[in-house]
Amino acid sequence: MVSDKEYCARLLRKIWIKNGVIAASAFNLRPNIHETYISLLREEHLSYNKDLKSITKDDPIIVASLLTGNVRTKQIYDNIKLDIKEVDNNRLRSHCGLFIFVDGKQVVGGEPFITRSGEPVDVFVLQVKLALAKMASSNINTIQRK
Amino acid sequence: MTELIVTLEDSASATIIRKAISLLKGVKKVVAVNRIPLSKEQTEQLDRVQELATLKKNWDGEGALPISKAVIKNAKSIITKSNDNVLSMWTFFPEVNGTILLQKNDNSACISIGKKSFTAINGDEVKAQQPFSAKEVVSIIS
Repeated sequence: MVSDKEYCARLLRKIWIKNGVIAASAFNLRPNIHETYISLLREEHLSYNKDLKSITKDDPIIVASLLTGNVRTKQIYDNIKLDIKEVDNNRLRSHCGLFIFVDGKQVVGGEPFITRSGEPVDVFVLQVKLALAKMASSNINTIQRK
Repeated sequence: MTELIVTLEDSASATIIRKAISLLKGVKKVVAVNRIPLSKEQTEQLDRVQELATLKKNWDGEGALPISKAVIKNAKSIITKSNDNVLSMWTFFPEVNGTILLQKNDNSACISIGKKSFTAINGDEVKAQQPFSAKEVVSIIS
């Protein structure tokens, strides 16, 4: 169980940050593998630093922190709910996932909200991504590898 | 037919050069085009879009697609039709499916630019998928 008081980090590529703005496109459910959650790492977990360094070669590493309680209570549309839950991962012990539910049904990357090659992102997905970018924009952290 | 494009920094010599070119063997027609120079903001935004155009497949390390040429062309057409005050409030970002996101810097709006269509949210206003029109997008972001 991820507590409301826990911060969870989303790894950011440099191209997703410009002039202090975090791209909404940094928060993706990858359509090509029908991803079921947006990957995050629990910052207070013992293996957080080790896990973070193992998933990227970037130096410095840039992450955006999301407070779990804020994500869970975020109002976008009445029928949209966001949640952060633990996911099984033997390699990354601090791994957790941000899940999106519409009318109680879990949203999966690429379906039913199509984001095929070259197609614009569905407006519903845009709303969620933009809300997450807005929440994360005040919590950008830079971590040196050493 | 082969076209030769000559760019002049100073228009003062244009008439003489135009006449000289028209006298060359094989030249059928000489057309003069006056182009409005790009502003600093437009140049910077075009540079940003060009940066996105160079992203290779798997640029996010998780299988992202390169940005489509048609999407790049659409983004550039938005820039050349927008003024500096508007452009300075927006940032272009890549999407993993080869499209571009034009996001307002205060996170209140964004436009998803596809090959042939776009979607947009601007506060409470939502525009579902519709055919791409630079003019329409510019009116949304202005």
